[in-house]
Parts: sequence; C-alpha cells; structure tokens
Amino acid sequence: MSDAATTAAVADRARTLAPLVWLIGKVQSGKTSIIRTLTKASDAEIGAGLRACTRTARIFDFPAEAPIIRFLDTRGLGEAAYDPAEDMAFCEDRAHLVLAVVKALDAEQGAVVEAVHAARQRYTDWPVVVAQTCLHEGYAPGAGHMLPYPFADGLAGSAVPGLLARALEHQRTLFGKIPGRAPPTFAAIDFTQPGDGLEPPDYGREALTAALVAAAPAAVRAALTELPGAGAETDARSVNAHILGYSVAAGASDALPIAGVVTVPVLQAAMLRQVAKLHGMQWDRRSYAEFVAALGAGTLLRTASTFGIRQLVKLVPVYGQTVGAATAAAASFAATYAIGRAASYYLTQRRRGRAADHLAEVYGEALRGAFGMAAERAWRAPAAGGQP
Amino acid sequence: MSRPPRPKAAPKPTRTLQLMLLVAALLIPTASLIPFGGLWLWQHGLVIYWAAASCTVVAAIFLVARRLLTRAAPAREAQPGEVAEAAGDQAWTPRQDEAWQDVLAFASTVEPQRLSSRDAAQSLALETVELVARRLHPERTDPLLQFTVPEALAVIERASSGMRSFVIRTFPLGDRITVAQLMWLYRWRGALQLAEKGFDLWRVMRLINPLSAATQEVRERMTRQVVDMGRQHVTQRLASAFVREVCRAAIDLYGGNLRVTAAELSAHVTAASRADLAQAESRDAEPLRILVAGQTGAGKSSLVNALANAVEARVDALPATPRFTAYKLTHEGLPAALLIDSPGLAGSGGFDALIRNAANVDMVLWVSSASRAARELDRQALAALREHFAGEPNRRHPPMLLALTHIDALRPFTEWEPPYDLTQASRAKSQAILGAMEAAAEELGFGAAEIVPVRANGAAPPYNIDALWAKIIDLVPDAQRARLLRTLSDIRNAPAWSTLWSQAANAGRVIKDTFMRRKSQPPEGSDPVKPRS
Repeated sequence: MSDAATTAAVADRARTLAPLVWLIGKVQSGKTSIIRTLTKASDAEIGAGLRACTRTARIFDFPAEAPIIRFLDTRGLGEAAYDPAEDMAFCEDRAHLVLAVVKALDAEQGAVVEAVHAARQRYTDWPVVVAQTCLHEGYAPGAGHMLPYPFADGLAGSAVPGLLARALEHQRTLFGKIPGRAPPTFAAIDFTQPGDGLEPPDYGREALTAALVAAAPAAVRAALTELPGAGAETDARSVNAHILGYSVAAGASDALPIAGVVTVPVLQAAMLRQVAKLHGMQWDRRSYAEFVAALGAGTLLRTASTFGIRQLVKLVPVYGQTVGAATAAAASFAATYAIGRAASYYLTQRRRGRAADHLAEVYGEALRGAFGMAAERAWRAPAAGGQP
Repeated sequence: MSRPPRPKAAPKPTRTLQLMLLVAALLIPTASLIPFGGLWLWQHGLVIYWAAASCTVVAAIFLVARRLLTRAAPAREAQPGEVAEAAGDQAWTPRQDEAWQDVLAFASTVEPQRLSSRDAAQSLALETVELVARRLHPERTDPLLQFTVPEALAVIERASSGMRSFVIRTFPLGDRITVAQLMWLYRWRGALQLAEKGFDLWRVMRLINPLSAATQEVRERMTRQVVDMGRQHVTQRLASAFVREVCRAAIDLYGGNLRVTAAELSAHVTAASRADLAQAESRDAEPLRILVAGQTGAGKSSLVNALANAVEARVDALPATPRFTAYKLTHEGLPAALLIDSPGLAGSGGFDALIRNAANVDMVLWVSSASRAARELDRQALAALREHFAGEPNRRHPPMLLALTHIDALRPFTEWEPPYDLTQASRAKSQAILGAMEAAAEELGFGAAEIVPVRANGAAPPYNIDALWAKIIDLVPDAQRARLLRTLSDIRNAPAWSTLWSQAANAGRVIKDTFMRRKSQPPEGSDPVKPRS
C-alpha cells in the first residue's frame, strides 16, 4: 500500500486509542494556549490541526501522525442553548479527562460549571481538573509573575494579591459543588506568548501537568508524561510522543484480531520513517543496515540485512517479538516502543557524527520501561467504532 | 378603558362644591366691579369718552404693533415660514412623525373649496383629525375619541394659535383673522359655554382669555372677508395650512402630549426616580437616566465610580452589584442625571429585569470587557433590548454607547503607558485596542463612533473617561428627547391623573354630547371620553 494510505491508516488506528482531554471553557479563556504549551505545537499548527468533530466542538490530535492524546475543544459554550450531551457522547468510551479552563478574574462561569456538572452527573468518575488562567489580569500594573510559584500549596501564598486570591477562591467554591467521586483539582496558570513580556511564558506549567497526571487514568497519564511540554528536553519528548503513538497502535493491532491493513510491521515502518523525519534525516540502505546491526547483531538480523529495506523492517519486529515473553499485545507495544527509542538514539548520535555505542542498552531500557507501561495500562481492548 | 368608576365620585361633590364656592368668593367681588364701573360711567354720562379713549388706545397699540411686526417679518417672505410650518416636532415619537407625514401629503392635495364655508372647513378638520387619530391608534375602532377632556380643550388653544401665526405671517389683514380659532370655537361652543359655567374652572380659565366675547363679532366678519377674497391660491394655501395646524394639534391630542403642559413636565418625577433621588438626597426635577449594563465582571461598577468621580459603587472581582442601584451624576454640560448600575448579566435570566429597567432610561451605556471575547451574552441581551425598543413606536429609542473596559489587559500585558493615540496606532497596545474595538463593535452592532475604550479598574487612575464624557454629552439632546417621551408616558400612567380626570369627567360628558351632535355619524355605542392607558 502507498505511504499516504499507510500514514492515514496508522493515524486512524492511533486515534481510536488515544485518550481524550475535554477542554471546557469560554471563548479565549486560554484553551489553545494550554494545547500549545503542552504539545509545543505552534498556534498555526493548532489552527490547522483543529477539526470539527461535533456541532459544538473541535478536536486536535497530537501528534497528528499517530496521536497519543486528543484535545476536544468545546466552542458552543456561552451560547444560548449549549447542550453538552453531544460532546459528552463523543467522549464516552474513551479514556478521558475533563479540563475546565476559566479566566481567573472572570467570575461569571455559570456555563462552564453547568457543563462540568452535567458531565459529572452522568459519569461520576471522570476526573476534573480546573485550570485558572490569565493570572496577570489580577496583578498590580506592570507587575510580572510571582516567583517562586506561590499557588502550589492552595492559595496560602502571601505574595498573591488579595483581589486575585479572592477571585481564585470564588471559582474554587463554584467548582467545589459539582457531583462525582473525586473532587476537582485546580491549577493556577498563565500561558502567554514569548513576546508578551511575562516571564516565564509557561507560568504554572508544572502545576498543571502535576494536576493532570495526578487526576488522569493510567492511559492518559502515560500520554501526558510523554507530551513535549510536560518537562524539559522538548525535542526528545516530541519524538517520544510519536513513538508512543505508534507503539500503542501496534499493541492494539495484536490485541484485536482486526483484519486491517495496519499490521505491526507496517506501523513500525511508519514509525521509523516518522522518527527520522523528526530528526531531519532519512533512512538509506547503509544507515538502516548499521542500525539493525548495532541493535541486536542477531543471526536472523544479520541475514536479513541483505534484504531490501521494506523487508528488513518487517523482520525487525520478529526480533522484538521473539525476545518478548509477555502477551503478544504487550510485546508488540513494548517492542515497537523500544525500537522507536533505539532508532531515535541512533539517529541522534549519527546526526552528531558519533557512534551509537549504547544502542543495545537504550533498546533494553526502553523495552523494560515499555513493559512497565504496558502493565500499568492494564492493556485493554480499545472500543470498536467511535471514529470521528 | 372605562370611565372612572362612579362610586369613587361620591365624596367628590362636596370637595368640588367647596372649591367652587371658594373661587366664587374670590371672583364675585372683583367681577362685580365691571357692572358697577359701567353703571358709574353711564350715570355720569362718561361712556362715550371711555369708549373713545379705549378705541384710541387700542388703535395706537395696534399701529405700533403692526409697524414692529412688518419690520420683523416682511410681507412676502412666507416661503421660509411655510417650511417651518411643514417641520414636525422634535419631541414627537416615530409614529407621530408618520402621522405628520401623512397629513403633509394630504395637505398638499386638499382642494381650496374645502375651506369655502364654515361647515366645509369643519368637515375638513374632522377628516384631518380622523387621519391622525387612525394613525396613532390603529388598534381602536373609535380612534377619534381617544383623548381626554382637558386635552380637547387644550387643542382648541393649540390649533388656534398655530393657525393665527400662519395667517399673520402670510396674509394681508391676517393679524386680525383667526379662522381656525373660529372654526374650532364654533365646534366646541357648547363645551365652552358649559365649561364657563364652572365645570372645570382650572382648565377653562386658559381658554377664556383668547376667546373673550368682544372679539367674537370681529372674527365672524373677518372670516367672511377671507372667504370673499375668493382667490384660488390664497384659499388653497390657507386650506393646507389649516389642515396642517389641525393635524399638529391633533397629533398632540391623540398622542397624549397635550395632557401635560411644559410646566407639569419639568415638575414631574417618575416613581422610580423619586425613590432613587430620595436615596441620592435630591429634589431635582426628572433627571436623565443612564443605564450601565453588561456582563458580570465587565467593569460596570468601576466605570460608575469613575464617572461619578467617587468611590460609591462596590467593586470586587466577584459579582458585587446585586440589584439596580442609582448614583447621582454631575458633570459640566450634563443636566441632572442618574447613573443606574445594574447587576451583571450571567445567562439569559437577567434579560427581563434589564428590559424592565431599560424602559425607564434615556441612555444606555453598555459595558464590555476588551479582554473577554465571550460576547454571546451581550449580543443576545442587546438584541432583546433593541427588539424591545423597536416594539415601542411611541417611545424614542434611547441612544446607546459601548464602553470597552479592561483595555489595559490587552497585549502587551505588562505595558500601561497612556495616552494611546488611536488615530495613528503605531504602538502595539494602540493596535490591540483598535482591534478589540473593531471586534466588539462588529459583534455587538455598534458604530465606530459609538464605542469608547476606557480603563477604570485597578490601581491606575481611570483613563479615557473624558472621551466617554464627551460622547455622553453629545448624546444628551437625543437622551432628553427620550426622556420627554418617557416622562409623558409616565405621567399618563400616573395614578394622580385619574383624580384630575374624574374632576373633568362631568365636563367631558357634556363635551361629548356637543361633539356627537356635530359629528355626522357617531360610532355606535362608543364610550364618549376615554382616558388612554
């Protein structure tokens, strides 16, 4: 099959598996800047990536090639008769997290609270995180962000201006009344553009990530921690996010006896191409042979190195699968992930003109980590259907 | 729509009688001087001298007045006068304006023969009045009767004086001819005769002066002269002027404007304002009422404080204004005014209260935050408000302004170095402000001239409030027109009117009889004189 068709099929597969973060907030409350900060995508990329999925919501897949996470952006909020039912139905049967986004100084949040309320009434265990944005609107004129971040432990920080503290507290009271199992958690953030003069531009990112990771179900958590914006090493994280996306799709391919075109080898081939692209490089026969050689030096592989690239790629997972001792699904997931990480390491080293001496170690470590992830994920069959 | 209940009139006769006796006691001694004086003159044989002296004085005054008048308005400069005649009244409502346009069209087509006899002129007047009445009360089956008795009396005055000034300006000998007065007098003769008997002394006193018995003879004669002139164009112009004057009076009559005199207007204060004013410790006449409305947290109260130049309204990050609260506003160039702070809109639940209060205001200051793009609620509320005003053709649409607050929160966030020049927006902040203004204006349906960016929040001193003041003062004439009509409708609905009305009821019944007799086909079973509600 053609590359384009493969890419689309891979993305489709990954999309059905990717967990969903449901953003509920008024227009310009800061939803896009949260997506931007967490994924490190540019506003233009986000603008181009947002696709309508229900009458009142748009969706942003990250990464687009093999999404590990999807952001559902509710647009109809604040309009006369916004009915969250349709968006709620869209989120149903997926791993999910409700992220309410409110401007800190905008006390009028009736519509947002109502939507969250409705969601939690129906699905009592959906985790809810409330991001309180645009903190700078409550600062004294000309004042910058308060450092160190004073909102970490509740609102006790004495540095917080009284007006802002009361506004935040008021919103926390508003959301405190929603039904459901776990109470919502809060994060005060202020994500701005680098040119806005407020340093750092991702003020409160750690607090938000921590709140999200703490609240999220396992599947979402893995995706969240791999997001480029979730910590340092943005570039490496971006690659990892892609790798994770393909790996999840690969795991699911084995878990489900789907007679689809997207087999584990196809996924892995697509992943390797994508990883190279992210590093600004391309596979050629030599580099591929070198990579495979460095990876395992197994007999099978060495024999295979004489094959064409496409065939070779198909053989790599066999190597991974034979090593794996767990279930086929977890093995496919872990092997794909480990190969991806190894390839990423190899390409990084090659770009820098160094030898990929520790490729085997990287592979092994990634494999162990991936099995851990697979165990935590408690691998379950993804819901059929639900394709947007 | 019914006659005032009769049982209520039970205690009234005693009061009315008391009043009449009191007036009689005051009048009789003075009035008695006339016959006694005459008797004295006659007894001493001085009547001729008195008459001669009176004539001389009248002639002298007449000559002087004539000369002054001619100098002020040369005889053949009638055209501009007529243009002015054709202009309506600024205080009229859109519906009244429509009626005026109808009549102007009718006036230009009226045939001069229609004024060739007294009866013809009368039927012409009736036709005009009906035209106006039907326009202003399209919903009534008997529009002709939608006025109150004192209005009927006042309209005589109005039509007469309007017509007279036209005749004086336009025609030779015009200063002594008052056709309209005559026609109307003739028509309302019965009412006046009875009124003179004291049914409504207060109203009638105004009518007696211009209609003293002595001039009646002269008018009768002059009317004949005008008719005899027989010249087509003169009578044509006279006829259309007649129609216009009758219409002008009729519009005021059927529009209910006549029920209130200027003096009453300026003294009247609506109930809502009375309460508010008491709160503001004021005894002024009806002030301009300016409503400040918008979403919760848009900065209404901060803006109220900046405009009132005092910290009066409570300001908080949380919704802080639970109900409509009035603040007294004083500023150079602004008449007495009340600024009415409103609870923030938070969903369509507040629309009803907003519209109820908007019905009592003369200007609306809509407040929207520049930093909050969620304006769907504003849009809906404004649409509801505009729809409400559009559904009230008898009221003037209060002028609206949009104050765009929180401009300091626009990019770049940390910068606040006013002033910002918006005419050549070279700085990033100015550009951001302009962009926000354009977006808000387009979304909320305001013109570019109806939007003012301000900052009235936070620790920094208010910014651009002067520009907002300038816009407000620009709109004061418009607002005052809205206020006039609002006050009128308020007086119309005021309970005090019903007592006044019941006093006039007796007189009204008699007038009705006279009226019905004059009317060729009286509407069946129509109640004669009904107060409008």
